[in-house]
Amino acid sequence: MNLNEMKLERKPFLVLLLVIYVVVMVGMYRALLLLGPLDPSLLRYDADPMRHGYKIFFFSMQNAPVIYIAFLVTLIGSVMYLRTRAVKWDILASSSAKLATLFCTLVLVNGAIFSNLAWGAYWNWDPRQTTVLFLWFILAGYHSLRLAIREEEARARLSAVVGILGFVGVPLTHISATIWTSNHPQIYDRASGAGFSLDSSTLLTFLLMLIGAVALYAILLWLTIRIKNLERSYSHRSGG
Amino acid sequence: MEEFKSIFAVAAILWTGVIIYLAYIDARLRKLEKKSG
Repeated sequence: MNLNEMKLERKPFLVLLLVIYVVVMVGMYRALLLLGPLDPSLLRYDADPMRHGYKIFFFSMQNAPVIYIAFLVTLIGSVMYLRTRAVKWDILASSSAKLATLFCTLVLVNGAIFSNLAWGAYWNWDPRQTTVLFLWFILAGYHSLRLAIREEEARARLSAVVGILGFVGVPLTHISATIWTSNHPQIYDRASGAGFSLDSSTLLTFLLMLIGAVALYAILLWLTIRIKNLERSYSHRSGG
Repeated sequence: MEEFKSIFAVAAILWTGVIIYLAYIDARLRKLEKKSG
């Protein structure tokens, strides 16, 4: 795969876009209109608004794995840049970091709405909420560093180091709800050992939204890399 | 249930907008890529 020549044929791009559109539309239809209110016995805490409000999860939960994937791509791009010094890896890492920030922001906003419904306040310093914010600050630091350095090679090298060190926030975020006392719901019911604690209909809806989110990330990454390649070729031509 | 119908309508319109916008960006990029060779 040559990142400098990343041009997708028109037809497959539009077909992929259409598939994402249909998958997410079906997922949203299932989430909002097909699934009923939650059984009160499933609620771990006294939060009646959550009987219907749990549906915010279908617009939030699937974005969290995308942050992990996007940060992993940044890590791979950063490591490969330091090894090869090829600019294409820096473009991949920084493009993916941009999208990680976008999905991180979505999770923070949706998480705050969920938090208000479930626990009565938009911010609770819950370990999961706090570690996602920590991740957001790591990404903000990454982008600030890139904006502060004008020299291309130094910018790529230093941001690659931040991209590698910052990845520590991903496993920390993932395990935060289990290693610290947290009210955050667990999708996987470890206590019963019965596998996924969601019923099959809810799980299918979640999977549709997850497929849509991952595919949206892939499309956005593709577009961002193409924009960066164009910017680079223009600035080189104009001598900037 | 009624409020969920409204939420679905708004979500569907927003999502349609996002997809159309992405197709538009792709078309614009394609033109620029052709120009730059």
